[in-house]
Amino acid sequence: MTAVATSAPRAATSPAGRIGRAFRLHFVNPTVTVWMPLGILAIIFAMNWVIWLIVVGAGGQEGMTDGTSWNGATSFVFVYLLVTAVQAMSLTFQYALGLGETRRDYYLGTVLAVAALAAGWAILVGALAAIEEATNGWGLGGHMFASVYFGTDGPLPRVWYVFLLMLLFGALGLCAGALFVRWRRLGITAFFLALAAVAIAALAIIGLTNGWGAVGAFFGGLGFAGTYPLLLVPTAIAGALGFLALRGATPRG
Amino acid sequence: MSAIVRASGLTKRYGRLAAVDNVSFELEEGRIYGLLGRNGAGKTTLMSLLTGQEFATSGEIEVFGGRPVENASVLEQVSFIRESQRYPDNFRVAHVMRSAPWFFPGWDAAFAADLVEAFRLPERRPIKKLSRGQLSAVGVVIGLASRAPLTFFDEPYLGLDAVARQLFYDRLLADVAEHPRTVVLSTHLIDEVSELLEHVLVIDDGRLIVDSDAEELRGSAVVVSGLRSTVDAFAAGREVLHRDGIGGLASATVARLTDAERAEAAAAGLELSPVSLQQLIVRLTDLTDKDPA
Repeated sequence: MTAVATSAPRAATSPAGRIGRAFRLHFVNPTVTVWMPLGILAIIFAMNWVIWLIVVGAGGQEGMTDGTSWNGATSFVFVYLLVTAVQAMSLTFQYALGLGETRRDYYLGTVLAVAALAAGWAILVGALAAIEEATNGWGLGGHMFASVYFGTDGPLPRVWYVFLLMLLFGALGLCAGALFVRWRRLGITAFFLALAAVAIAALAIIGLTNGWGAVGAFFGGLGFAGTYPLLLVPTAIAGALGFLALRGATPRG
Repeated sequence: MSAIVRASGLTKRYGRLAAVDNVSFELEEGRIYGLLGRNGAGKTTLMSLLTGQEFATSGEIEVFGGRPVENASVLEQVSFIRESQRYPDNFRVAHVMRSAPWFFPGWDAAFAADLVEAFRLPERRPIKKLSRGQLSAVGVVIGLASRAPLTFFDEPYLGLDAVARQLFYDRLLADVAEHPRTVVLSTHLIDEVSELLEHVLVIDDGRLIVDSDAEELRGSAVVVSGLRSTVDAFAAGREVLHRDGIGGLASATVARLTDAERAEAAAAGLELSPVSLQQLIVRLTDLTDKDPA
């Protein structure tokens, strides 16, 4: 009975179909994955705009461009994608497994869903940044989407940079989500502790070796166009670690 | 008839606890099986192993000619909605009915819609707000409408009212007659399903203690009742599963009797009656508790 049939029967559903259904699972009810973050972004934007209005009303547009160009309001969408990835996996993993999906197909479909969300957000942020520039900061000289973090290489490179950063946050979310599904709270706590340790270690090494100048020169030499694609390295590592964790996950958790 | 499931030496340990302990059996195509046993006996773990949701500690499993773990060609022929199945928290019944069909090539949408109506499932209601019985009904609808060649029902009766239980019973029999497939009913409510079952597997404390044709099992014991002295005399030297008595009357559950033995009992003025599957299994699992092998 160990002799597994040499011509293993092919599944009726193609690999693309199996990955596709895991992808679609995340959008059956798009409240968490799409509508909530869009709603929150709209509220954040409205609040920013009202604040600009108050500032401009009090002191005119002088200094608005400099004052708001370091706006971190859009950082919300990056963090939210991480949270979305964790939530999406904790919501659907057991369901997909219960319906007979393999962990591999489920993970690939989920990776594609997160990548699609990253792309969607990048396009949205890019479009809003273009509008922001065309309308002189929404008529008030304010900055929210065309912030300095994504350079001044133009609208299309900006979409690309936002996408790459989004992808990193999404992959971190996939890794954290897989750890949660596998080891529950313990897994996710360990994930954030490890992430903090890596960040602190990097800062410590650079600081102790007086390497800030060299780091600055390195990234300065690469520019935005050369630096952002480097994010694909940690993105790929996080994505692969996520798969390793999920491969051993069971409905018990 | 050919075996579609083969398990040999199957064991699953959680730390020192053996949830499934060296279990070997086969399931044949087109039969209705009962996987019976007490709460925590290992039924759900066994089904999780057969559907690749849990990983075996040791032993072999073959389902439709392949290992179930991470094997899409096997898994899409199998349906197993566990009793504690988790659905996405933000899903309504309609979301489940929209997404579940993607996972089963044999899904019958008209049948599913019909079942949702028959079980009076509120399609707009969030899964989180369903009663225990409604949640069981969702699992039953998926299990029936999936038409999977191997379908597991895990405690399908949990929380279902009498009407819904009858509905499940009737629909299952009618649909299996029309679309033959292998069904495994896992439950501790044995009387509720005993009429359906063709073959019985009883698991107790992780071990498989009965693997028998249902009819054969029902005939494997008989209740002998009458005057205490007569019953005692008849039971002497026989395997007695259970004794009962009030005053001068007594009854004893004894192992299968031959025709001659039946005649002998009747001549002694004893009454013979069949044992229900439930009583039989209660007594068998009771015995293993008292006398661990």
